[in-house]
Amino acid sequence: MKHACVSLVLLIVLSLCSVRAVPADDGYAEQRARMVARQLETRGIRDAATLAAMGSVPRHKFVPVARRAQAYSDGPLPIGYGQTISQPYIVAYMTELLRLEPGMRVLEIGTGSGYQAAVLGELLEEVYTLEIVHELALWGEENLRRAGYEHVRVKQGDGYYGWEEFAPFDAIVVTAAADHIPPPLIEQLRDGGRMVIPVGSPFRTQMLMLVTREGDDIRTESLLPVRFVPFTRDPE
Amino acid sequence: MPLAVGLASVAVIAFQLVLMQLLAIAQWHHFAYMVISMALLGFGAAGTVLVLMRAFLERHYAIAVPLLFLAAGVAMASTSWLVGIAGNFDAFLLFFDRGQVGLLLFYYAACCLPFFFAGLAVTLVFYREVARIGTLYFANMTGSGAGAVLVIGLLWLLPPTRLAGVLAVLLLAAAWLSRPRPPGPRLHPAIWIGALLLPAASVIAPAAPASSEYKDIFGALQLPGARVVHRSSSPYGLLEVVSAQALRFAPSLSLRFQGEPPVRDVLFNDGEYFGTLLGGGTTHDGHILDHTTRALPYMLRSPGHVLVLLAGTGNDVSHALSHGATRIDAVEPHRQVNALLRELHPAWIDALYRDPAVTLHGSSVRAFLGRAGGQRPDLIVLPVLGAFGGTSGVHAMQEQYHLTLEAFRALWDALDDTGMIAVTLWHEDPPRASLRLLATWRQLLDEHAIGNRAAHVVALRSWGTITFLLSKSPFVAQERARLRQFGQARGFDPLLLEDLQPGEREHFNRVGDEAWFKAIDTLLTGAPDALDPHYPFNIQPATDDKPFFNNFIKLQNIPQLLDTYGARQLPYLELGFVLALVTLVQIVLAAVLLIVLPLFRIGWVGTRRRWTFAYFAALGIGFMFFEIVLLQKLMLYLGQPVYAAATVLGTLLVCSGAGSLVSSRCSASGRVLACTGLLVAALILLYTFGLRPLLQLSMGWPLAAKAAGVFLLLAPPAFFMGMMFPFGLRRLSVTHARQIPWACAIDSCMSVSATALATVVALDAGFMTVMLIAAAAYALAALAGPRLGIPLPARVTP
Repeated sequence: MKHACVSLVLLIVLSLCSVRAVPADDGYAEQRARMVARQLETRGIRDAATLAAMGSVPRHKFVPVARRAQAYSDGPLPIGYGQTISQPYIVAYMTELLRLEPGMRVLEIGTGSGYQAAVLGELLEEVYTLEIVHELALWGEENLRRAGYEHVRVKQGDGYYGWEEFAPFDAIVVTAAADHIPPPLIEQLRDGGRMVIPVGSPFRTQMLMLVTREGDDIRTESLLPVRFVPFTRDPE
Repeated sequence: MPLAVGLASVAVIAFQLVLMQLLAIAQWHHFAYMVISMALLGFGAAGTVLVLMRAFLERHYAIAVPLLFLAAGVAMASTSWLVGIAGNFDAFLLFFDRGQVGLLLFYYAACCLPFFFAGLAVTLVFYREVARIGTLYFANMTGSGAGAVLVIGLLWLLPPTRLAGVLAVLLLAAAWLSRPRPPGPRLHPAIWIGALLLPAASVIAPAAPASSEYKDIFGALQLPGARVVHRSSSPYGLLEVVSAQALRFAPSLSLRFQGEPPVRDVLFNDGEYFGTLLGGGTTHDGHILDHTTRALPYMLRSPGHVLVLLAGTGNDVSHALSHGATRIDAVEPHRQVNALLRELHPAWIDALYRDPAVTLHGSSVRAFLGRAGGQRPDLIVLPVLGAFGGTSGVHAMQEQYHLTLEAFRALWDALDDTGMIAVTLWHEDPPRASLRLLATWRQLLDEHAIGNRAAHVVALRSWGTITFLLSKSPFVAQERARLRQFGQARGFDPLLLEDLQPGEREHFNRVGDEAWFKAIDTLLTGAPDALDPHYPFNIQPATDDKPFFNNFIKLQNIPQLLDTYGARQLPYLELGFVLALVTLVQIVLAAVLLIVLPLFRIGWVGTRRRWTFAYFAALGIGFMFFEIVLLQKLMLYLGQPVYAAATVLGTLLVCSGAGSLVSSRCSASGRVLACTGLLVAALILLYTFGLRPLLQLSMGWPLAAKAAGVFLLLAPPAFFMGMMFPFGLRRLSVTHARQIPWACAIDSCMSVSATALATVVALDAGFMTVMLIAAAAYALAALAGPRLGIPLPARVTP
């Protein structure tokens, strides 16, 4: 009887211990996986590298502590200074749009929280990011270091001039709101390169603008991640 | 006591406008409107509290009134500080962050206090001294009217942050005047001194509510080296000029531009972008705007006489000058900006407004057009619509009389025979403004029996903006060729051309939205019924009756939009409209509570309660509905929104006060009440249909004559409206005196509710509907009035 009780206790204790040994960010890992499955894959994000990157980057480390519970929710989050960390779907969509391949070099204008740069850093060795607001540059860089993306280079400065020292870039992401695309950025985009700019209110699903360069020929394309409403009747 | 009531009324109304401006600077006008609406329920709450604590307050009447005035003054002086205690509220996050709801409620409570205490004092006086209600209501209304006018002058002298303290002193003066005389109880001198300290502190070291991070100026001030180089305040708002090396002016710049856009200071009004101080705007390669779609009219023709509407900081003026325009009329109603850029700091814009070819007109667009007979500009340039990244619909509730069908008719009539109208708008998602603009132009062309509409409209599209041109004469082949050449050189695509070829629309800038192209073609040249009637956005032309160009929401489509966008995103599509709805719901719920609560004290059943409710509710709704429509129509007529509002409010309130005073000499019999109510209803009906033709006839008069006309127009209905409230209270006073505070609560709550309701009704059904409801309200009051208590005999005013 006593032996049975000890066995029972042991069984109970073991069953408790047999709860899966989880990494320190357990709850976030599940949330991250759920985010990839429900927010990205179901909406048509297909690039395996992008999905893997989104599933790896600890997004919760790039949001203010007070908002960590919402880090993996399906929407943008305010991060202070009138900025937001973009909706996961938009980040994934932009990353996929860039068609990144190993060995490429990418520039981001508007580091913000550093999350987009981190996602890019999962895919590439050469990631350069500029932030004009001093406090945000410091915070973004700190987030990147803490999350283990030391190879992402952060500079505080006016993104208008790009980062000539490391130009040309295969891809450029412009997340800082501006009503024009600076000519130096066009110049620093490699022939055949792609530039992505999200446009729209910070708390709505945004329109994405893709800028491509073929020699002197520069073209844009407006991309709506979600087509919303019809305008005209279907022909009868 | 009447003087005390008058002073308190001056302070309260003036503070209402000051608070509106403070909140508009910190957040947005629509949020300010929301908060003010809730805060004004403090008046309604005052009546409710008086019902519930009537015996106590009556017993201590002598000391309660001055103490309440003192409390109101202290609360008024400390509002800006109080609202920030619980944390920094940001209206933009309201639908996104649940924590903001709690902060908002605290905001309401803090803003409500001055109105509550002052309202309680005045309601208590009305109740206790109902025998001279005519004189007291006269003091209340006249004081309110004076406050509306006085605050305009004060806002020129002092910033709104200091004005709260100044106005609080008036309430302290009201407390002093209403203090009990010996041998009654006295207030200790320490109370007076203590009460004076807060207003003094708020004048010397004023606090301001924390600003939203999502206002334009916040972003500008984050830039390295950014600093405010100028700040000035007026009734038009707070103007600030920010200077920073990273502030470049290059809106929707061609991707082929080589060189550096100009770095110029930026002017903000109430924290929102007003304009860049561009000045000459020259680059190594012509004017900077020559590298945007806004250059289109100058590429096609050579306009000598250009009319620039809502000229702002003069960027379109400098553009016209750079293309050799010999005469430029610039219309800009913001007189403070005009004074700043023409008189005080002309160097900021390279003395543009002092150029001999430029005439600056400080009036509204419609007032200018009404006076501008005989002028025939070659080109009329409207201000750019929208903004990069969208405006989140914050302007949905803003009246834009320069974009209505009537406005475009006036512009068309003003044009030279080969003249053009140019409108540039930013890309938006989903497209709405472009569709509404084309719907408006289509109707205009149809009215002039122009069959080949496609020949009179062209449009050119860049990655960011679209410039539409409407011409009186058809665009000829040479001009179309120039459009194509310009587009080719800049990387812009033709959007509308009579001989548009397949593939032309998306050579440089692909939209990938064939449905939108199909819609604009249908609007301009196709059958209107080919458009989907279930399209969830209203793209019908705006009219003077519904001048909300940026409001596209159809109420019945909200469920569909919620389904598409989700509850979190929808508000940011049409934030202004959503705030208007939220305000209405909040106010109605609170008003119902405040009106129902007293019934627990005075009883649920009894004689004539429903008539008391019907009468005073009708007065509250009728007066406010009439006031709101008159404000709109007469602002358009007088052409100067700030002074128009002061004129209209001042006239309505002072004349109402006069009517109240005269009412003391009249019998408040059922017959008199009914006749007065019916007379007011008849006048409102007359104005509903007759006002517009009358205003149009006199649109060209000088401002002083128009202002006098407005006074004569408003005086009769206001006078008789002013009689209704004291008549009602006098009838209640004899046998139903306990209902007097409840009646005051009903009137206050319904007035506040009416403000919010009128906005929503106008957005959906137009201002004429609002006027008809006002007439119906006074007809209801005429019906209910004879059924109120028994009147006091007429008295001679002491």
